[in-house]
Amino acid sequence: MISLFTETFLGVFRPPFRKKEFFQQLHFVANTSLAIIVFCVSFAAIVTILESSFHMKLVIQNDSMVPGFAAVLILRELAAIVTALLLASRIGAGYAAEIGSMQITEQIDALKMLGIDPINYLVVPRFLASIAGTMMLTVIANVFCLLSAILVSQLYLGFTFGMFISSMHRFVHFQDIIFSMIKGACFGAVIPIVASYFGFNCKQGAEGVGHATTNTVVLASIGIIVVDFILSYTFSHIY
Amino acid sequence: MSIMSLQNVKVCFESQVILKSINLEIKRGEAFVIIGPSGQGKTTLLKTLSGLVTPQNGKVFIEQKEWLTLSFKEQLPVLRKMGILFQKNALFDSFTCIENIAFPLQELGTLTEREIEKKAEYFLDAVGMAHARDLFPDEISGGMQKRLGIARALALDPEIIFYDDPTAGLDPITAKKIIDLIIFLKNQQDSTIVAVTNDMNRAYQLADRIGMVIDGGLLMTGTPEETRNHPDLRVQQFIHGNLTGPLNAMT
Repeated sequence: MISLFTETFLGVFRPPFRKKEFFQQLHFVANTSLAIIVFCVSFAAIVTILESSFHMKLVIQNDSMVPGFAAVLILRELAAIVTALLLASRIGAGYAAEIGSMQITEQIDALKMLGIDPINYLVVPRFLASIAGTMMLTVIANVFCLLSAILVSQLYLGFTFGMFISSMHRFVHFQDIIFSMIKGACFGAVIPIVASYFGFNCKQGAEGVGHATTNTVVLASIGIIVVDFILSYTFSHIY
Repeated sequence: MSIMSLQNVKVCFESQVILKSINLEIKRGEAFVIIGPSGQGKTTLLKTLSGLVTPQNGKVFIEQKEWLTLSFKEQLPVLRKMGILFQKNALFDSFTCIENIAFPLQELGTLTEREIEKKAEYFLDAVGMAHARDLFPDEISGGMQKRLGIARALALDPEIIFYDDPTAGLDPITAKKIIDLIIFLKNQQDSTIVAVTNDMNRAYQLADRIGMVIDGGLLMTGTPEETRNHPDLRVQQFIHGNLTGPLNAMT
């Protein structure tokens, strides 16, 4: 997998540059995943703010800091990780099944025999599209998470829009948004590498494709969580 | 002069030995047909000759170049002189018939869109599939998929063409049409052919030389006449399709 990552990373700088495939994949990653991500992250944000308020009231009898805490949590963690985990299931499984099917039907060998580098043709556009798409979706997820949090805190917790923004202003820094995008990019890089690895090593038959997709979702999710830990730890030192 | 050769090639998949110590030379312009019972290593031998399978031991020479020492970039000019028809056709299922043929030409990057379209249409017409131009591979019959696979294999005007069981699963009439097409195209282009088949009639029709693979080894190579008269009982059992004989114990 490390060698696949190295070859893919080097392939990014080697021609031919496949714009058409990149935009096709970007459409697959970003456009077709947008609705489900917005829906899920919004609910995750609502649950986060309600739970935070409930526990703060329970422990310190005061939930005035909830909007600020929730905003930091959303920007630094929630939106990026929920987006990435959803994409790991959605596009990771899709990539693994697609490349796995190509592997068992000898389409990968056909590419090689036509003088086409499968990594350049299949992995590099997916790798770049996944990074760009996950970053974009993370930004959109952040926006929708914050909007949901503002709405719920207005309707159920009694914070006005102004109160929410001023509380958020005290806790949130510009770096949080940058960190969130960096996390999105790193998570986006994990998914196609894991999916392509299992796709290229797919065993014959429907069962083989099934294993490749399952392994991709499991390992990509684990990978995202580990990368999240490493990045959060690193950012806490930079902060 | 040999265009491809294998020297002491051994191929294993996991712990299973598929090919053991194969030595073989294919001459430029000849039609070499690999025969043998199922599961004995014919396809692996063909894929090793084409450079798709990496052997654990031995050397593979293609166009006098030691294949395994070359990078993908160095292999590229040689790969573009090769065409292959896979056993399961390996057509790109997200492309239409015309796109399957046009794709390698587009990747070549030396032709204009109009030239690519004209050339793809020419090959589609050559295999009698002009009417299926905009259909997808899963919308056409098995015989048509074979013909489309041949057209794609020929698109880059290859000097070496590999056919992995080109008549598998086809009715006798379509199988004969496919073999006639392969022979016609070979005569037209004077290319080197390596083919795998189990059908002896087709093998005799196509081959300048026949090689029989048994138990991962190359039992014999010779002209169709030499194959017919070969003294080994395993060869005789296979070519006559006898139900009893020494091959039964092996297969």
